Amino acid sequence: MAVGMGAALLPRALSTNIRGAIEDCRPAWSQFVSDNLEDRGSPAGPSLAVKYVPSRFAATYRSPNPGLFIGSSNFTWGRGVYVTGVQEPLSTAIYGRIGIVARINDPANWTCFDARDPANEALYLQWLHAQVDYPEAVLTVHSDHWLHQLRNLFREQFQIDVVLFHPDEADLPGWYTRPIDTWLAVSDWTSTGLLSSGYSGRFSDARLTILIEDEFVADKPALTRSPQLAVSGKAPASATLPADARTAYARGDVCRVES
Amino acid sequence: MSLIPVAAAFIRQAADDENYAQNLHDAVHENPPALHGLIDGPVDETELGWLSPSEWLWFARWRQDLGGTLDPQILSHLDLVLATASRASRFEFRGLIMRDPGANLAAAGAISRLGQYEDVGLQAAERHARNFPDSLEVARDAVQYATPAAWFTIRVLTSLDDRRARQVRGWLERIAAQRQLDPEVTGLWGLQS
Repeated sequence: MAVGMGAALLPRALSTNIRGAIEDCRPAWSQFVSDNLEDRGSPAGPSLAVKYVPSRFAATYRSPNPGLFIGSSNFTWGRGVYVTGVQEPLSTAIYGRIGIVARINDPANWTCFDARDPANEALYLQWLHAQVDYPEAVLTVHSDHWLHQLRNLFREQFQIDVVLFHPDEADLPGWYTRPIDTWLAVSDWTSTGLLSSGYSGRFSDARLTILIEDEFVADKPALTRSPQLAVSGKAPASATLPADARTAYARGDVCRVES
Repeated sequence: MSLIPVAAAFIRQAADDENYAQNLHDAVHENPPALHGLIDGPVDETELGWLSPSEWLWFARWRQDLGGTLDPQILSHLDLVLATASRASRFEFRGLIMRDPGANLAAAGAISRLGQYEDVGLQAAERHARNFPDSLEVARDAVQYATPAAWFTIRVLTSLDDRRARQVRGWLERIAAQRQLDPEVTGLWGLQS
């Protein structure tokens, strides 16, 4: 049970509309789960997610490990594990050279909010405007931080397990991250319904599976991320990469992506 | 003396960088005495200079996330220094108390009255509600967090024997009317249904 009663303070119609929208997101989530099956011939099998980390964590994920770590910084939808599906394996390579692939635990029971849908984005903004702290949050120099806290509260109020959204950062040439890709912010919960921290229970069998040759640096003031090598001067060959990553994961191999 | 002097450098790094936060998490979980000392050990007044207020906020939330307790010394320090700091830092500080599992358990157990509480969070909430000059700001954050500990704070505000209580009551009544809130909710604020 959620400790916060914020949803009870919303205008009733808004609360009803958000709950309805979350219900309507089920097919989108089912489609995502299906698109990212580990074995595309086994619909009842697990699906795979990808998260990139800096190379100093490579050793951690080449042996038994505690899994994916929950981020608490000012990420797009707040606290959570940020991943993509294995079908878009390069999409978040801008965040590290080490691609960790992991199985998604029990996704059929996840509650989804599909923020790729403009109608749902609009609902979130209505919710935001209904918050009593919204005027102060948006007018302070610390808006970035405060608005992320409000996104956490939104996810807690409606116990949203996963937010689907389009990328809001990309590599400068657009070789790795495509605007139509789907990124996930995944929630872990405490027993009282708050977003939790530490290692996520949402994924299992995490291991280093993709190794990116290039490296990306956030250009000051971090509005863009540039490749540091760009050896070939073009996008890495990626047509077979989803299949290659699945095969590498199954075999315990590492799939290398040339710059 | 607590572990703060030896851990301060790691806490600073972890507060600033997600990857160092993972390192700190791993390090303390490999060392149960260190974990226990950091998340439940009392902080001494003489140690407050080891971290900045922002870092204390991060550390207090980190302790809480790992199942640790609120520390009265940290709360008093933050209450004092954040009074003249940024609005966002006070929002964070109030969240620390109003989202605290122990404070919410204690507040939910005595939902209809004020009284003497042993819970560190509720003691801090009561002190803050009585002493912070802008009661409407406290009330807004409490409504934003909307927890039993937040309602406890609002009941302190609405029970004050001065004009601040009238201000807060008036604002809460407007919110309740605009949103057609259930009397069950406004009852938790100490307003007559």
